[in-house]
Amino acid sequence: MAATLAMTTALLGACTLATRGATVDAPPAVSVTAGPAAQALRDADREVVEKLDGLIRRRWDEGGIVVAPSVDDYGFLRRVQLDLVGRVPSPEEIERFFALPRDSRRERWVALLLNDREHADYWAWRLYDLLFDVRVQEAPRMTSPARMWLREQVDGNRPWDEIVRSLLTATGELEYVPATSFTIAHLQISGLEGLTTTISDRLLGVQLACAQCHDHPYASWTRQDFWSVAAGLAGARVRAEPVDPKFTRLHLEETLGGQGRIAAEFGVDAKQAPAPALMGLPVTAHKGESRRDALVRTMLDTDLVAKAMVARTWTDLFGRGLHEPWNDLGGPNETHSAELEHLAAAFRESSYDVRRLLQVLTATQAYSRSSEGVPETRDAAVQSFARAAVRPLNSHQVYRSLVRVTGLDQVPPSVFLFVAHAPEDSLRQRYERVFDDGCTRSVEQTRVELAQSLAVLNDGITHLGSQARHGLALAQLLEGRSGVEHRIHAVYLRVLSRPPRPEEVERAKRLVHEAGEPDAYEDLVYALLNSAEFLTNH
Amino acid sequence: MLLTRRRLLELGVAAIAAGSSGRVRAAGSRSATAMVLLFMRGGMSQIDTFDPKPGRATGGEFASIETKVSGLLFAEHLPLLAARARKLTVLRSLVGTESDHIRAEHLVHTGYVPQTGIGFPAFGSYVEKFSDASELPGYVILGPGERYGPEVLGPAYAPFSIAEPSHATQTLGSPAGVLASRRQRRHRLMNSLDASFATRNASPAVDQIREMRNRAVILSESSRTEAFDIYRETLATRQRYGEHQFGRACLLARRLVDAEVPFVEVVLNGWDTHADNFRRVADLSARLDTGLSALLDDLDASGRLATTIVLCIGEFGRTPRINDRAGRDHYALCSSAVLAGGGIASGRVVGATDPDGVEVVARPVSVADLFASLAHALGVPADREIVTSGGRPITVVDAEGEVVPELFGR
Repeated sequence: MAATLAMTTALLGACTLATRGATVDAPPAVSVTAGPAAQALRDADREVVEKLDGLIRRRWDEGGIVVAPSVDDYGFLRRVQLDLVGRVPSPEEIERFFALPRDSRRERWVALLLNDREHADYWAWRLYDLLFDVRVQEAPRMTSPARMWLREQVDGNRPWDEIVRSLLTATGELEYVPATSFTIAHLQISGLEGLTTTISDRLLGVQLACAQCHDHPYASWTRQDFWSVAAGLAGARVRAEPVDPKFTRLHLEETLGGQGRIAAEFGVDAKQAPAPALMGLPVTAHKGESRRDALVRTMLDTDLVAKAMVARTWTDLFGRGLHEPWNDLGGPNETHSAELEHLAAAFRESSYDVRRLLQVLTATQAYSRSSEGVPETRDAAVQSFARAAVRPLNSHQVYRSLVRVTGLDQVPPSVFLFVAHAPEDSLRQRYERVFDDGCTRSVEQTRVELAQSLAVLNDGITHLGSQARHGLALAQLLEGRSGVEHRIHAVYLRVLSRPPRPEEVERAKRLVHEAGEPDAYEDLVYALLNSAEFLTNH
Repeated sequence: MLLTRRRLLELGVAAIAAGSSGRVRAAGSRSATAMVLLFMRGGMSQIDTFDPKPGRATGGEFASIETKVSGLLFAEHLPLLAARARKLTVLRSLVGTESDHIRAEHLVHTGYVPQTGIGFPAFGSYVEKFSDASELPGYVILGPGERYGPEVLGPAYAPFSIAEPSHATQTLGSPAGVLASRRQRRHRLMNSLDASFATRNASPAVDQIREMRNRAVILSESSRTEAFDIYRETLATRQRYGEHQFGRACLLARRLVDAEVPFVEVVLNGWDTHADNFRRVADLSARLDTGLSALLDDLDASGRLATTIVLCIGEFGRTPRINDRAGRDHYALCSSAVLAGGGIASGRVVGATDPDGVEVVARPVSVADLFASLAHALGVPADREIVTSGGRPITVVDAEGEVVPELFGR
């Protein structure tokens, strides 16, 4: 490995690629090279990690689980890049990572990534996916203000409880108070039921939706529970103010009414309608509070909001939930309750600091497991986090990684249009459409679609991005190096974020012999972009 | 290099789960070999379409119109379908249990209410499995929304989804300028890369990626993908289907049925009319009216209607009560569906609701009953037992469901 590393560094020294255009507007303090701004793991968080490691290890020991070895540094870097900034590392980043001291580089790199604006952008997308399901995302006019707003919140590391409070209690005009976007979009598109369902499903992590029309089959939720939450939201009204035939201003207002809507569900009159409540806890507005204020306060008095965020984030990072599905708290598949309780308590203790949660999760023994192992022991190990799950990239990860690896994110928009035959936005949207991942799924529900494979196989990015054409990444990479082995090495590092194994070098050399240069490199890049290794996080 | 799908299946690609060893031809008699599901996503307002209540407070703003079937009325924005009512059976007594979108959508796509830990395969996957093999995908979804999948049947029966029909061919063919010999070299390279990755990282994700890429390669190399190209139709034909996404999707569905694709779903989105119901339903009805009418006409003219079931259904109905935003909310108690072709009766009404449209008063039909009837027509073995990924055995169609004889026959 030492020899490989030396070779990597030597190769990187010859690299002439420009730094990424997208960070040009960012102040230097937030770029990845700026160390001081990034806070390393605190002592309190180290204790949280140790306790969590203990809980999980006990399950491994008790279950006689075959535990996978630790993933190597290349594997860790790729995994954490995909999880935190939504794309694979560039060769320059690999070089910077390996320049950090060996025993602390993983933690330090995580801290740097969390401070990067690319993290804010990616994580805002993941929150957007959480808050607005595909049905609601189809109305971008009402949901896109939230995306911009979320990016600012993540960039400022605003505590999750405050974000939830803003989203659920904001009032005002959509364009000026973007936090109203959540309530406005749901009320307009899916009604009070849809808003109630999304809040319980995505923010509280409980399956209250099926109690909408009948009592829950196994949990104790009843119709009354569903409509009592709805009652806490029923005062919210969207007022549409037509400005001209093409534009209507949308205002979110808090009214004193709405009980009639709830009462009608039960066939009673407004006075007998269920009062606002959260799973049996009364929701009583104090002086100066609206019903929605009181509902959110009650939500945050419980540990549900913290548990749901921990459970969802865990599933996002590990490809599998502490229970399945992550948003069925109280359901039949609660397997890692102690771990969830512990993490949720720590998350509340940290004042809902999501960056610290991400630091904790990525510092665990479980996060560092290799995905490699023999098939016989696979399922048990993956289910108990003793082996990393292999999971398909989501749409953001596929798109961001493809444009980064092919260098298409470094060309000016006019050239991008020419090369990719579509403006960046439309290309990104095309990938979003075929890689639908609004909900966080576990590996057991993995669903790779034909349309996805076709997109990578035949779309412009992979074809043009794998051409050794002047101005594109592959041409630059080849120009900067001489010798077949160096070139093969650089291709692997760029696309798969690791050096090739000896047998892979031999296979690639045979390809060069068969197809000649630069065709062989083009073929290799194209095949690697379509490979299962590139298209999964592992 | 050109592998047929069947040969691919025979090669035993690791991804293929137990019990999915290739498509199985349906046994016994069947009246249909294909199905087009027109999914009215969001929940179609039955009172404002196929079950009008003229003169009642719940009837809303629309007038009703007479159809070619004596005594059968439609709401006013479906004139083309009214003229084709003799080809249709209108089911007015569909009784559901779910009024949450996700749960109700699951129900009308799988025939089962969702349950944690059980992966219910989509009906489209079953239809593909019990149809003749082809190099074209057998289960295609046109339009936005959730794609219900094959679950334990395996990725060979996963849907191929196309969000915008006019872009369908965009990624179907290999880009110009890469010679066949070079493409083959690339495919070989991909397979060898994946084979070595899979030995160390065996997992469902890797299996599925390999399976889907192999399918994608076969499809890209196929000469039959012109079925996906609606621009091979004349301008007049395209206009007849309607110059909107739903119309284009109906046209594409017809081309796919012509190419013997056994199951096509076409999504018409936007029926979740909690506010401004009447303006929106008028617009949606116009799309449905042109798209479905043209589809029926063409399938009828080519003779394929006799063996193709067309089903138009939403995930639930909408409230008879009109809310204070001129909208109608979710309503599971009763809704309407429209069927045609494939041995289904024509010019018939099955079931009825009361004068205000609040309750079913004649011949209640559950979603399970409807699925049993569809399975019967398509030769899908309804009582076949399948062990789901969670280990729970289920039957292909919920055992509660019974064939509705009124939907068939003369």
